[in-house]
Amino acid sequence: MNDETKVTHFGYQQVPWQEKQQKVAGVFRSVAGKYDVMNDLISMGSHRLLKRMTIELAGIRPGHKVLDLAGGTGDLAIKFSRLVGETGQVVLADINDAMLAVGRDRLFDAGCSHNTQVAQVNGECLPFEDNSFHCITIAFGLRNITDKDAALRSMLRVLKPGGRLLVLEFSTPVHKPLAKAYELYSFGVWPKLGKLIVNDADSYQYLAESIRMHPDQDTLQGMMDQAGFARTEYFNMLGGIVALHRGFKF
Amino acid sequence: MSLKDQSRSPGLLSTTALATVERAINTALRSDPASADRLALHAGRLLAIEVTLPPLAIYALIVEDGVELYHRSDANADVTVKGNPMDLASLLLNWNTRPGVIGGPVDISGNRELLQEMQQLARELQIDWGAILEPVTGSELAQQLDYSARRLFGWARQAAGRLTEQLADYVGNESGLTPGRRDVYEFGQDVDELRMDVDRLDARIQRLRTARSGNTSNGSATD
Repeated sequence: MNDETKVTHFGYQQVPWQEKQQKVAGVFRSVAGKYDVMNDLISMGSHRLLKRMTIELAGIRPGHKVLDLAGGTGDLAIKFSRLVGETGQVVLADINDAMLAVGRDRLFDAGCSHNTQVAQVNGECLPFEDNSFHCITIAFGLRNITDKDAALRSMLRVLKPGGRLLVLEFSTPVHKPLAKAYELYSFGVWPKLGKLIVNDADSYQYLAESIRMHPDQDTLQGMMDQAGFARTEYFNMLGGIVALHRGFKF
Repeated sequence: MSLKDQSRSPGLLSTTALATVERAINTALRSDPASADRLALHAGRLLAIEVTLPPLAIYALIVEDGVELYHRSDANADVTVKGNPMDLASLLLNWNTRPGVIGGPVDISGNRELLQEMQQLARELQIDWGAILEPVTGSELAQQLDYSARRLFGWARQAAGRLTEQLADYVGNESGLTPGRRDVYEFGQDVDELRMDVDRLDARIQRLRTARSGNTSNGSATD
């Protein structure tokens, strides 16, 4: 099947393969200005804690080169910039120009411009040399990539041997009552908050739907294995609502 | 850090606790710009605090606008302090300990000057409660609350100091309930000596076992 006849999911909708990227771009252009406020509201602040845990498992040292893919508004990149120090480098990368503009401003405001670069990239075909990064993180971004397998292979290619990938992403709750409550909350509250704060309920309806369409913990781990990552593992957080996957390149 | 340590699942509760402490420190620093500026001179430095019981590590990265706290770090710390919670608290927060109160040594490795500077900063940090409360209460009430808070904290600090001294006198000298620092030190030495004796004995047993198994296999070979 060629790309013109292939379809993929955009939330619960089936859309032509090459259209998903544009549709996702539309979602993030719509919410970029209030993205962090909305994240705080819908996650009740917990996304900050989850990102802290990601940083702790990233094993960043001074001098490291880090790629924060789908880094959006740059909250991870700011922390990484401080951890890698003067001798390291952080690349904040995102496919979406609007999100990247917010991230670039935040990096600048946080005094991180000396060791950070900003790049608009497609995660499926990263424009970096082989073996470039000690660590790659992608937080709440893999879900939106059309060809996740290609993206994982691309990330493996640009990782240095011994480097690690961390994927922080919504996943599947491990307890049924929690799953039910989460379903009610995400489908009932998120679109309403989206309407109230950014006057866009559809983007948050897409968010809730896209989470349900995203591979569960074991499937994603299998995809990472398939892409060639070694010693893959995952950590369930908030009862599996979010999972942090980690894999190494050897 | 070992691979086993790295594979431990991060805990949401401990992360929340650490984030809360970090926020409290940074809020205090924002209300005392002089201390914040002094701290910012050390931006990029990493302090490791290793608590022996319960085993716990906290890494404090100094950044331009305060500190960031982590449970793990793969970076080499500029200074590492290791000890039990009471000793660490007395060292880092300048809690008063009387000579009679149990207090073991704190292991310090790395840049001691940096540690002294941090101790000094902790001692001199003046929290401006007014600045923190002003957005909520307005300036006049905030000033009153700041004044009251300073009096309250000053009184509380003095009272806690007096109580600690009196308690230390009673527990250490009058009641005899706790051993003195010298006794604890000697006990620690005895335990270390005993541990080394056991290690030596263990090594001898292993050597004898090896020799015996060697003799047995030689004997079998000649049979």
